[in-house]
Amino acid sequence: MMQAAAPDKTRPSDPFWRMRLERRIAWGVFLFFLALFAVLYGYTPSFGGILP
Amino acid sequence: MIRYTVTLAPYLIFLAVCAGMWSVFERIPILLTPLSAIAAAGLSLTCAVDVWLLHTRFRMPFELLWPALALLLLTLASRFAGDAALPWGFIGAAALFGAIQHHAPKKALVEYALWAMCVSGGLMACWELLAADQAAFPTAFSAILPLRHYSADTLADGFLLLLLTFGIALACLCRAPFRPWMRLVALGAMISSGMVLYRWILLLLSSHKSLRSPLWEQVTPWRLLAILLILWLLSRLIARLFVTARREASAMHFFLAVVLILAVLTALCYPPRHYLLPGAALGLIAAYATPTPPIYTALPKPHPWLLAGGSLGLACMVCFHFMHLDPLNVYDTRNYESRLAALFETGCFGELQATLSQIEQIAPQERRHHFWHSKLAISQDRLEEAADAFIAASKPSENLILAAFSEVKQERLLAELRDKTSAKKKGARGLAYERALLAAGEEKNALAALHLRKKYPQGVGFSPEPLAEVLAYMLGHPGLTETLAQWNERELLGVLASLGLQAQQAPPEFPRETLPLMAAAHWQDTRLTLLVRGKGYTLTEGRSFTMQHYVSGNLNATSWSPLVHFPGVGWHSRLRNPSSLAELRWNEGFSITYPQGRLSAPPDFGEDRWLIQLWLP
Repeated sequence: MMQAAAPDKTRPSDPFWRMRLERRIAWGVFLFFLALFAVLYGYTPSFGGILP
Repeated sequence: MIRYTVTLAPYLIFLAVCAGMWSVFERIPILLTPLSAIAAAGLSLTCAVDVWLLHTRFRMPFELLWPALALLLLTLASRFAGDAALPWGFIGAAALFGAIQHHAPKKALVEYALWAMCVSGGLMACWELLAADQAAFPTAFSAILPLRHYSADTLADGFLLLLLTFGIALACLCRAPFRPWMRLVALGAMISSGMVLYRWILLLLSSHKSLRSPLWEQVTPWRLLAILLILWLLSRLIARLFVTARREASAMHFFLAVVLILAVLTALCYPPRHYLLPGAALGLIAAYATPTPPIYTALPKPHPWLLAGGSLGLACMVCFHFMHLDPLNVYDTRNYESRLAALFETGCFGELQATLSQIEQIAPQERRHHFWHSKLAISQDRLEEAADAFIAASKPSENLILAAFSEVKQERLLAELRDKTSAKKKGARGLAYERALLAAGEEKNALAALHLRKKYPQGVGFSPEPLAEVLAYMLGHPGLTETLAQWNERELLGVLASLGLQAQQAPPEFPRETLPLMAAAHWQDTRLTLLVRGKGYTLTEGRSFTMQHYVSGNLNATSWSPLVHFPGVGWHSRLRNPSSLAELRWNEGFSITYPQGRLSAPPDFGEDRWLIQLWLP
């Protein structure tokens, strides 16, 4: 008897694969924004950077 | 009936995004509410009706729903806790974000709305360019202060909107199914917004240190939580755009993601103050990133010509003064009189001054600006400044923008000045009223007002001509010298005494041929004027505009110091005050010197006062 093929979760057409990729990108972008925020509002005055 | 109200939603979306760009100047008459706010309220209402009364499933992905909902609740909680850290605008933006996603499930509809938004933004950018070159008044809130006059508040909003316009126009340009003329319009919007952005970037780079917005000055727990929520929401949205761009090979999704990243970077540096339009734009972009459910593919969409015409009509309505028909709209700076009058009546002098400065930036020669400046100075008891402004207002100049003021208003202002002058003490009346009368062409009245002043008790026995000349210069009308010289010396001395004249004997060694010697000084803001007239010597006049460094001290006791002789240098007298403002020297002639390195004035230096010294033989 033929067995049904398991869904391939590594293909771009797979919704789970897309969701996981989306989450990963979101975390990367979020951490980038957070780091930028921290630099701008936390450490900038001591380095004399963008903000006074 | 209820079902029909929901069909209005797509039109409200177009209205919200088009009118959002002009959010200040298209207020509804009588209600005085921005059109975009009305559209946003309508969208939220139709969304609520659709979900609660028609039991439609709320169409918004959970990963975007929860941060928006949390932000809304957080803002409400902070407000109920009595903390105003989070603005009410967050609630409106979150509601609009959700409502647009609920009502715009069809991609073509969103594409058209994005295109309409970039058309509106492009038109605003064109108008901004015109306003920057003084051809027109600025119109949108981003452009209240044109390029040369800006602050963090307005610049951040305008920059963000123009960036969104630029990015969305670029994305529309890459959208192949758009018709050629639609892509051409998007190209125009991209060019115009790009030109304004370029100028603003130069401006930001040159003065970024002075542009710190106070919004994030204190990062309280409420604000930090709100920032984290917003950043997470945006990160999810950007990630979804990137993934969709890759899956569908769509350049439009990619450019929208890039422009969102740039917008977040800008907003982190310079947080915006208006949230409705960013909320609407994010809602549209989020709706565009979410796949269209098959059931909605048959939804109608407005014709693009209708959209372009609507945007253009809205722009024309704003630009060509249509709202001026509503004199109640005091938020419109083009309703100059009613706005300034409202600010004047409510005592908002700071805002009044800001509006005046704004007009001055656009049209320095504008007579009406000087007229209001004079009125403001009178109300704040700065009479000499009021007279100066009145003189500037009376000078014939081309009215660039505003209509000339009427003679009745001029007479009223003069009467106000007269009343304020007479309410002052006799020694502190100054010459403001007389100078204003002379500027208004009422020479006889000015001389009569001077004549009313008390005569000097005794004569001093010399020709009145030097006194007349100094007085004429003090009035700003040297041509009056001959007329005043016909007065007798007691009358002239009486006028000068009412201005604070001090008379004393000159030292016996001082050359007699130069006496009587008269020195007068006047300061106002950062300007010091000196007049010196000795017998047989022409009048020497000196002006300094460099008093910018402030020191503490009181100038009330200031006077001219006695004439002292220094061997090899000559005679000199100086203005007695903590920092020695200026010196009068005599060595075979009079000269005035300003010790530039030490010029300074205390904060209360602006008092309108003449300091007159007469050295008698």
